[in-house]
Amino acid sequence: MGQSMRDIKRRIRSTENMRQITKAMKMVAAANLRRAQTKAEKGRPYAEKMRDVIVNIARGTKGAKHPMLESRPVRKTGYLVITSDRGLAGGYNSNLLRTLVQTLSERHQSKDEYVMFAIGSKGRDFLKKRDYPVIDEITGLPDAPTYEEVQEIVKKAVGYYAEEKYDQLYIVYNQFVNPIVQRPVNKQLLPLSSGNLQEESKSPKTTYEYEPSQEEVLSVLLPRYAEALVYSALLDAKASEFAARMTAMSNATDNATEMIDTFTLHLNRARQAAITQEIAEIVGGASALNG
Amino acid sequence: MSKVQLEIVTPERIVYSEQVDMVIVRAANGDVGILPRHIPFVSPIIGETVRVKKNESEERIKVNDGFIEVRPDKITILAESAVLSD
Repeated sequence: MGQSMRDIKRRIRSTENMRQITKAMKMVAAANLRRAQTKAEKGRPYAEKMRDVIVNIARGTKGAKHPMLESRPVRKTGYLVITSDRGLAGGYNSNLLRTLVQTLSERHQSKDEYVMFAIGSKGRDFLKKRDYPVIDEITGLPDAPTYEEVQEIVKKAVGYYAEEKYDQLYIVYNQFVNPIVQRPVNKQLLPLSSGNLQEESKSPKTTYEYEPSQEEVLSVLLPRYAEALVYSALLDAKASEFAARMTAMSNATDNATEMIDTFTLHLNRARQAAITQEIAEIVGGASALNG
Repeated sequence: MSKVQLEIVTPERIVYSEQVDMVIVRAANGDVGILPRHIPFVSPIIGETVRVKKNESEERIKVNDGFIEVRPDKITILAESAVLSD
């Protein structure tokens, strides 16, 4: 008999406790996921509407000029990396960071060519530990961020571009595909690529009257559009985080259940063995007397 | 009297969506009152208050960093935040 019955009982109890925790975490993640998804959906009309107006202006004016639309010689590339603050989310962070490191080594020769803007402590710790140039970091983002709460981040990210701390900005995050699949993506955010804006918009072309002028309207609108894009990426990343955590915790719960079943089997077997042994001893003793 | 659809949209949600008679805002070059079938028009909103006339009554909506886009059949206000006040 490998283990005493008491040991097995103790292990069953502790695994049961673990299962309770992972189950609770799974349910919390599921609730948060639902909230994040509705939030992401509600935010969509804003960015779409803004895009419509910008596309209209861009089409109406030949060569509308704005620093955010024009690509300039790239001395530094910025990467806005969105990770989570907490772990226990399966491959959520490690997948993203792995693809990031891979892209960096393909695209750049040295660490002088890029800077990092880290959101989430997991990504920050990873990047700092490996000596990547981190110019700014933000941690402790709430689970369901409001626009006001993230405004500072998006303003900063867009502001650094204006200050020429980087000449192009990529945004790296886990795109939410469905609750099972989250895909790490690496999207160019700035300069707003002309291809992105010249796609046909659904609304018919209209000629607007602008106040005070087209250029000024554009210069107000473009930073806001970039901000809206960062915000929607953040919401998407949050939804992915909860989805990843939900899947991870669901698996953990299943595994715990399986372990409990195995231990219970061991326990029963041990008990049976003890009983059998006792009977054998009694029978042995009796036959010795009778013999 | 004809009406026009007014939508106030923030990054978080659509705050307001109703048929109204008239919208009054302070645009870049001064106050404008917008009635149904106005020509297409785009301007940042200076100041914070949007006045909306609907069925003889007037509503005031506070917007932050707003932006107005007008089409003949639809007015859209994009703002970073918006609060309905009474």
